[in-house]
Amino acid sequence: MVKLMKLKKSILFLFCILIGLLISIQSRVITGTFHYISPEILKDYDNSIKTERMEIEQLKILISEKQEKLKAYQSYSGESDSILNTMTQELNRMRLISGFLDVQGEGVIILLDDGTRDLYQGENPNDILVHDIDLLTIINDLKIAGAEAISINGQRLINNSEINCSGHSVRINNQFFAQPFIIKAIGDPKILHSSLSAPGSYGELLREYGLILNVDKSINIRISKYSEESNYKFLKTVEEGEMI
Amino acid sequence: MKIKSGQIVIGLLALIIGLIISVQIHSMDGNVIGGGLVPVQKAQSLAQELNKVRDEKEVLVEELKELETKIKEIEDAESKDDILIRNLVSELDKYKMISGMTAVIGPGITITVDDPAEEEMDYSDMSVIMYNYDLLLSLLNKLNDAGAEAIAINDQRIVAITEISLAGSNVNINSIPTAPPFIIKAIGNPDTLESTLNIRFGIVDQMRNRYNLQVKTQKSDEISIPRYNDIIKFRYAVPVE
Repeated sequence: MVKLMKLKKSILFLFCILIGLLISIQSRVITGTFHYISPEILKDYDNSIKTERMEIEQLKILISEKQEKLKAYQSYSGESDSILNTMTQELNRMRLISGFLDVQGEGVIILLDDGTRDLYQGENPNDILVHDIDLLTIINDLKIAGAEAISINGQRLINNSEINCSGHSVRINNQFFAQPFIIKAIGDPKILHSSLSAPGSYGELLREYGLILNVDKSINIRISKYSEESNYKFLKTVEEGEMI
Repeated sequence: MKIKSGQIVIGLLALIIGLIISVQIHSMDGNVIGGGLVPVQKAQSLAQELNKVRDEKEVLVEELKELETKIKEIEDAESKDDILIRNLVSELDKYKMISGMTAVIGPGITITVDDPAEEEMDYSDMSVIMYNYDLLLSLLNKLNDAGAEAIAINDQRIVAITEISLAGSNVNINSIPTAPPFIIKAIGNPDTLESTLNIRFGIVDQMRNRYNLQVKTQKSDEISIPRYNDIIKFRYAVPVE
């Protein structure tokens, strides 16, 4: 009996120590080194670090490219012909990526047209018409799938091409077009095709609404260059020494 | 009798221990998911890391600029006595500017798009503007329509192949993950740009009233837009001979 009492007392003692410990830990949580930080802030930090890291990777590639070019220049010293060649190459590359050269390659040809089905009772006709946001989303989906050059009805899309839905017609690169829209995109035909045909893609959604969207793979597509005159009135290149 | 009171005490103690343990676990839980009660240290170390990578990037940007200056110097030196090269240099500058390979400045407009204020959020914790990123596409399109000459979103220059995609908890632009607030800078005629966006029932109106987004537009005389920070290599499209 005495033994049992002793055991109980020691158990009580142990519990007391445990409680003391827990209380002290708990109080440390509440005061001092711990603060309330919302998950969003931590996520923001994480995101920014990830973003900066990716940009650093890209910068490193750019720098190595420039170093090579500089080395090439320095080795030419005096021979203006070689410099001329390098510069012409670079100029052609710039014109290629900005859409000022005709290009060809494999890709997809897309036909997008208004739906021909009958409307339901009281349905808004807009449901089966092509709008600018449909074109924009399809173009964006193609770019996500790695399209390198895109044109709509022969108009090459460059960085400041607009797609303006104005009533019955659509204005692209300051020229007017009406349905149907023929979109050509150069890139990996399989990926481009699936980006508009996969379940859950925007292309499928348009088909469900009843719009006509046909995607055909092709082994050789030709896309002509941007045909408008580009006048830049407001842009100025940052001069040396000025920080971004 | 004595034994019974001891049992009551032990019972009470057990209850308290249970409570304390549960509270403790709860506060630990916050650490695991990444929010709630978090040691200040963790947040500080994240902030430090961010500063570190920013510094690293700064150094690299400087290095890149230095290289570009050197290259330019050689080109300029050559162009002095060769008219062909001189023409080529100016042509090259023009296309670099168009393709987004140089940083540019000019008058324009800055648009800030952020998620609805806390009290207007509905119960889902998904960011409204990230989920409806097609609003950004539409906004860019309207800017281009109003004659914008260069655009950047969160310092990502919009070039011909720029995509905007929703990837998990980020919006990727030029395959760089970004998050709200989206700061869109556009160079062009400030008045035209601003009134195109702020037209009644226009894009900004729609963003504010239908999606409760916080949108601010501000005209400015000088906006600087960074260059595109990656190398564009075409694997499928080749120039027509």
